[in-house]
Order: sequence, then C-alpha cells, then structure tokens
Amino acid sequence: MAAYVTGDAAAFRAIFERYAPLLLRAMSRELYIREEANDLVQQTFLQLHRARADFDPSQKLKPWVFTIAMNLKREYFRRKKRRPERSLEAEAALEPAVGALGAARVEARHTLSRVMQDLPADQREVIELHWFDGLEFPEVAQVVGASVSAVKVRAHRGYVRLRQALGDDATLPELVRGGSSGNREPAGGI
Amino acid sequence: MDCAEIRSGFVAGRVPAGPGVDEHLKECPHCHELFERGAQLGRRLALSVLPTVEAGDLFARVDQELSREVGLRARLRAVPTRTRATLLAGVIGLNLLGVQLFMHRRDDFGEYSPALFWLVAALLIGALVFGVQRLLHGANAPLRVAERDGAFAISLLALPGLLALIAPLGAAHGDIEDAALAWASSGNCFVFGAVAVVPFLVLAWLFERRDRVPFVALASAGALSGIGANLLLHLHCGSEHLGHLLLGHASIGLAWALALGLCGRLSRAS
Repeated sequence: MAAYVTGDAAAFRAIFERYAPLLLRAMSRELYIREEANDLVQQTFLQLHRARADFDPSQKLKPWVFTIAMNLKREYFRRKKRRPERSLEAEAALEPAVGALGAARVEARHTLSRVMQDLPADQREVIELHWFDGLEFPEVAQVVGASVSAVKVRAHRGYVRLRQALGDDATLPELVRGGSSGNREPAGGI
Repeated sequence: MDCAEIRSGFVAGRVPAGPGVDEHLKECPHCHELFERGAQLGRRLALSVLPTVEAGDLFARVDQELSREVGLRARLRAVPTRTRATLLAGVIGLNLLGVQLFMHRRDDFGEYSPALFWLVAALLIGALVFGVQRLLHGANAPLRVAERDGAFAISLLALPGLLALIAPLGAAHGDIEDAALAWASSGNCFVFGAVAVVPFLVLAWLFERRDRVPFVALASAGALSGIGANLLLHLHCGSEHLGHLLLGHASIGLAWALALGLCGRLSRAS
C-alpha cells in the first residue's frame, strides 16, 4: 500500500488481486446479482484510491479495505430498503459442483444463514467478518470500531445463541479430525 | 495456536485437535463453544464459508474508472482527511473573520455574561470541527461510528435550536424587543446565514469522496452548514426573541439538510 500511495501502479494491481476475490465473496454472500457485487467491489477500490493518503502504513490494509466495503454494502441495502437475504438456489449457484455433499453443504449453509438472521446485528457482524470473511479478531475490532475483547465477547454470545438455536444435527457432513493447517485462508484465497 | 488458526483448521476441512488446541481452549471460552457436541457449530460455520470468487474482467473496469480520476475534484478528494477537515472548517473561520472585520457586529456584547457567550460559541465550534471530521471520513469510518450517523445528524440539526431555547443570547435585561420587528427580521438573518455558508457547502461537495452520498451524510452537511451560519449570526445578530432565533437562525441547517436531501434524491432518480 505504501508503494501504491507513492504512485506505483503495479502495487495497485497487487492489492486488487489480493483483495478483490475476498471482497467479491463478502458481497456475493448477501447479493443475488453478481453485477451488483461487482459494482460494490469496484466502488470499494475507487474509495480506496481516493482515500489512499489517509492510510496509516503502520496498520494492516485488510481491515481498512473491509471497513470501506462493509460501509458501502450497508449503504447499498439502506438504499434498496431491503434486508440482505439469500435463496437456496442462489446458494447453490455459488457452489462449483453441487453433488450430494454440495447439496448437504448448501442445506447446512442455508439453515445457518436463517438462524444468523435472528442474531443481534453486532453479534452477527462479528461472526460474519471472522468466519466468512476470514478476518482475525483484532482486524474485526478495527472494522467495527470496538475493542478486541468486546468483539470476542460478541462472538461468544453469538456462538452460544447459534448453538442453542441450531440444536443437534445428525445429518451434518463430517470433517476430518486432525491438526490445524495453520493456513489462514486455505479456501483458494489470498 | 490462536482463534484464527482454529477457524482456519475448520475451514480447511478438519476438526482442529492436538495439545496446542487443548491449551488454547482452556483460555478461550468462545472457541470452546465451537467444539461442543462434536464440534457441530465449528463444522457448520466452516461449511458456510463460501469459496472466493474470481474477479474476471473487474480489474479492467476498476482501472478504467481510476483513469477518470483526474482534475481539480479528483485532487481535492485525495487530500488527507485531516487537511480537508481543516480547510472546510477554515471556510467558516474566514466567514467569521469577515463578519468581525467588515460587517455589522452586534453591539450588545457588554450586556450579558461573556462566559455564556463563549460557551455557546465553543459548543458550536466544537460541533462544527467534530462534525466536519466525521463527515469527511465517509466510507472509512468504523461500522459502529457509521451506524450512528443518523443520530449524529439529528443532534447537529437540533443543536442551534436547543441553544436558542436554553441560552437565547441577547441583551439579558435590555429593552423588550418589538416582536413584530423580530419576526420580520428573521427572514434577513435566514437569508444572510444561508447564503454565507454556500462556500462551505461547495467545498464539502468538492471534498466528498463518495459518488452516491448517503442521505444522512447530506443531512449532516446541511446541519453543519447550519451550525456555521449560527456561529456567524451569533456575532452578527443580537436578538433574543425566540421566534426570531428559531426561524431566522436555527432553521438554516434544517433547510439546507432538506434541500441537499432533495437534490440527492433527484440525482439518484435521474
């Protein structure tokens, strides 16, 4: 980012390639139309460009980019006067291949998405940023404008509510039991 | 091991396990929730993480958009927020200086408490400086701050009216003002104040980074121009008539907020 602020165009390309897929994923989660997600990501990079002189090089870029993106997304839904929601069909469209496991994943995702809508906004926001956008808790704290401990408390309360609301599900696809990969964004991300 | 690594483990398709995980779970109650009942919550959350989406030709579009970022407005938008805020508040400062040096000043300064006068001025200046910074942060403001923008805009709109009600600064024990004259002169004050802050609004528009300015930001800009106008009138007009203060002074911010909101709506509709 420091190189980009000083006018290095190649640095902007690197920033785009690193963050555009993550931002598109974040936008696509709640938008039906790909073109609208593209438009919001485009707006995010335009804002990033205009605000580049405000960036503090001692800070991380990821929470800064996500702050802009989340503000634009929130404003988008305010303008449209509707709450973000997603249909099962739209979920399925995001799956690369919906086989038997794909269908189970989509169903699990749909159930969780429905239950998460009932969480208080501050708890839902923290869980989404951490789990679905891959931000670490200090980064989430920066995006929402709260302390790290406050963010962790919100996540904890959200987890408890989610667990109570979801109950037991014997049909949930199994994961392999083993050590952590240590990879911060393993799903084809940065 | 930390919370991010626990999350990454789940997302990678495995339930994290091992001494490092056990150690972390002893200290971290919220990660502990993920592992309850066969780690169902962790698994559910992991299954709900969408794959990243390829950007396709989006870079070309963004690049094209950025190539249009030339000219005076593009340069002004790119100025750091602290400098933009100083310049924007400085416009009101210059207006105040102009009123002090070249225009009719109220001649009743000695007739009421200077402490009260400066307290009102300090509140208006504080609200202006703080509000301008907040307005110019735009989409960079943390979500919690941006969420309260509506309440903040309403506070800014209400401030001059509240000050008029609580501390109507005129001659505290002076002659009884002619009510009819006070009502009539409120129009002059309104026009003077509303016109005087036009440079502030023009500069605020030049500095605005968002292409689709939210209604609350337009309302805040209107409210801030109203606060600037009330500062000018605070030096210029010695009326303590409540009707005059509300109609001629405090309503300027509301009028500008409504006008800007209407302009924003019309531009979105077109």
